[in-house]
Amino acid sequence: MDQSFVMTNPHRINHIDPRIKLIHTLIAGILLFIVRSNAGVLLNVALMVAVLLFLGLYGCAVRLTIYTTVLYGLTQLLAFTGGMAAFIGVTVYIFFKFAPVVGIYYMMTKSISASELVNALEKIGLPRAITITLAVTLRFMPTIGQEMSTIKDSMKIRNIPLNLWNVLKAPLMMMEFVMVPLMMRFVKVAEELAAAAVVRGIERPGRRGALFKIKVRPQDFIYLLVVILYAVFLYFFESGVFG
Amino acid sequence: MNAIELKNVCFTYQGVKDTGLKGVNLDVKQGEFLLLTGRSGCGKTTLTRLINGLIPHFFPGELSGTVLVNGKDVQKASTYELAEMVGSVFQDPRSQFFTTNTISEVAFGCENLNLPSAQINQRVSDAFTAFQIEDLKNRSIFSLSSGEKQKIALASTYAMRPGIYVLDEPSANLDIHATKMLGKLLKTLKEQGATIIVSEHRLYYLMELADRVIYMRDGELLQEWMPEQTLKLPERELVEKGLRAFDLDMLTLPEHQLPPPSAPMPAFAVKNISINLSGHALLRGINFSVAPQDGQGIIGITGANGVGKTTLVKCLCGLLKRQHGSVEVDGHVLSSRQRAREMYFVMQDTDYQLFTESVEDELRLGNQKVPELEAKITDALAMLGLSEYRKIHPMALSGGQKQRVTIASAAVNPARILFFDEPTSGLDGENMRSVSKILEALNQNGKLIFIISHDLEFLLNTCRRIIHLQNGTVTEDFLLTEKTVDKLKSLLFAEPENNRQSSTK
Amino acid sequence: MENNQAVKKKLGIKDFVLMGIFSAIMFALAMVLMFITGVTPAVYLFYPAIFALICGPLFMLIAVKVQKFGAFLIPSAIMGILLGLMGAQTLLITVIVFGIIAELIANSGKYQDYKRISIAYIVLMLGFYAGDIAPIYVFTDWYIQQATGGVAGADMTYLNSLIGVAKSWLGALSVISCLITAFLGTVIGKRILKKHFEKAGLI
Repeated sequence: MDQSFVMTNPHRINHIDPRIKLIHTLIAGILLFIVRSNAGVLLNVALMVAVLLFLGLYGCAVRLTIYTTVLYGLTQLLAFTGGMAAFIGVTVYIFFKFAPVVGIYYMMTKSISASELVNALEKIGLPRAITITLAVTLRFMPTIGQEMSTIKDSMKIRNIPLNLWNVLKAPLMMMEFVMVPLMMRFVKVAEELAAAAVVRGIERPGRRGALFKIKVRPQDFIYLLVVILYAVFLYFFESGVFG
Repeated sequence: MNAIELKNVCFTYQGVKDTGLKGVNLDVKQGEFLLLTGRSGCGKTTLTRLINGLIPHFFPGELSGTVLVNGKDVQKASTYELAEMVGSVFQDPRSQFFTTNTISEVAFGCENLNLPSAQINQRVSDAFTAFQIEDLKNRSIFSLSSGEKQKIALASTYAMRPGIYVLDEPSANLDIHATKMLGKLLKTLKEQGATIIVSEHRLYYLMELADRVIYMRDGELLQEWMPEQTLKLPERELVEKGLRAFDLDMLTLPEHQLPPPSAPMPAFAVKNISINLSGHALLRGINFSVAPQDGQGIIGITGANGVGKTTLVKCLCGLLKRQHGSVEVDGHVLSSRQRAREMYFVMQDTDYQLFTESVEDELRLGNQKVPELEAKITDALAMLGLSEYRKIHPMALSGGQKQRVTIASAAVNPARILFFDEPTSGLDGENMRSVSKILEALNQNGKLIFIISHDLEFLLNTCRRIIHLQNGTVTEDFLLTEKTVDKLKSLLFAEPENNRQSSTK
Repeated sequence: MENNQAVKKKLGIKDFVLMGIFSAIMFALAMVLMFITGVTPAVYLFYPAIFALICGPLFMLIAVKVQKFGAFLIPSAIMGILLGLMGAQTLLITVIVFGIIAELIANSGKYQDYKRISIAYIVLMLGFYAGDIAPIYVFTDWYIQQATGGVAGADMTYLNSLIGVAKSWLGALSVISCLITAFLGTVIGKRILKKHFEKAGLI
């Protein structure tokens, strides 16, 4: 989980303004409900694969291709087999429908750094209540797993191990044992982090500066244009204009 | 002009009965290096918070008197005005980062000041250059050691160009080498003319830099020394004042010799333990054994950060399952499940180890099957000086007291072999010595104790044997005598191996 | 000092950091639960219920610590934005709409009234459920249409009715269980706050 948010270099040719990526995400969300046919989903995924390749996320592009191919194969197989298999087919079908979203997930988590995202959201005018809070969320997400495993270790030492048997035997007690140290710890961390931010001037009202200036460059427009034209194409494709 | 002036300052935290500071008067000249020390809770942290404006802006309470920073009244100034004048670094490096990347972290303060991008870039790269930490550029903060994190924290305030630096126990979580490096950075700052105030328990690394040392007690400035004077303070006075040593070179073994433990000790042997973590061999071929007749009840485990001390201990006490080799107690090879029962591990962070609503419940937790439990609890609480806190919620206690609660639960637990991970990090001299005494008492009752630590003073006070890990294996294993004290010192002061590797990259 | 009094009504950095950290726990929890229950829609329908149970104490703590307008809306907006960025935009819309309603309910009791905080939380979790489960319903419908319209013929109608029954029964059951666990979550939350945080003097 450590690597999910990365630092990016804005001067590279394939660096796309995060705001443009936000618009892309929005379009992808709408397409999720417009694209009903399997062929449409496959076309939609094809664009996502191309985008991931353009952003240099080759591993993700490969994974997305495999994910989609396998699920598409399964939907076909299960539907043709009929009977109970088709019942399981619902699951596979839903996963298949979400394939473009998997691409979006890769794009948003692997090609945008946490601070870049926060800067972008600030730029589009979200209030500081949201941007600062979001920055903290992104900062702490990767540590949750670590904190949980420390608590699990600690519970094991104390002879109250977090295992299925104990959870079934005394669910509320186990929940308390996990949540109390976690909440206590985070309340303390929250206080210390807030103090560390205050002494570095976070309470200054007005605009915040940015280490990297975000500005829209020609390639951003081209990227956006491609995404929009493709979405329009998919819309007509679904309405049967081409068929 | 004085950089900082405090006139008759009194402060009481909201919702707290005791007064934090009682009529403090203090002038700090421009470019002066001031060291604040004293027992935990003596008010030195409160004093630092007055200077960086966290009091009264962040921690509410009752404040009287005046605090001037560069001639400005702290009460009237806003926190962001103060942020431009006073840079602060805190104790726990894990809770002072706002971002996940070192560059964004160093830029954070400048971004808040709304400087133009070009200037932020310039200042960020200046900060990395000034502290000679270019190798830390563009790293994930999760890949940094505690020492590296403190360097970044200091660089982040440096980028804001304050004239005054306030550091609150910055070395609490650092090993000796990292502490030395921190001292070097502070030297750089001092040479640039910065005014620096450090509140600390560990004082040795600042002796060359400090202009004045102030000893605080119960919210008052009690005594002031020149650094040379502190070196002449007799040990008796350090103990009485609850201080740690000012000079590590002077440290020797304690004179008193412990009698051999009254209860029989377990025989313990580690045979050929190897551990792979995420694909690479972290530890290989770890061997050591302790025989009951050796009379070495308390054993120190040392080694640089990241060498795998904690991983080894986790494996020994059965928390980590995948490993090669075996662990024997009294001649029997134990499975990891049996080990979890026979051994007990007190982890570094007390916060994760307190689950219940009172100190006594904490000691009962998981020990229901222990015979004569209530009597044992009463004994343990008395031994650790916690009897009066029996019904108190553990999280309402001070850091030193919490540490003692976790030790008390180890004392009540039937396990005969105990492991402790850095039990004295962040403790003052008094608490450190009391932990040492408590461990000796536990040992007398027949518990074999292993301590992971890089606290030289504590190790000398407590341990009879040292096992040193380096490059994933045991490189030194010796009894601690007059002759080997210097060896231990040189091991702890040595530059860690993994640091050397990364700097050559 | 008057200045300080005025500031107290507005959210401050302490509040943002607290909400941010607890949103991180909730988001991590949502991701883990989605991953585990994602095996099949029938199980997935119940993931909001588990989520509501565990997040109860977290939201109670936020409400008690923050006590200002935004205590419900901001954490849910953060969850919505993050999940929305990952493609679940129906969720972004519902949690914000239900978040505002929850905020108004909690605010009407000045964040002191336990009952209102509790109702606010249940409303919020209902929004979470709606936003998360809606696409599953839509896609299941599409699947049925597609299947009936085409490939396998006669025995598909039987299957469709099976899916239809499962949908309505499981749907109703999962909504109800989500409401119940959300309520349970607030009960446990209240207990933890009283037993630990109040006793330790942390709230």
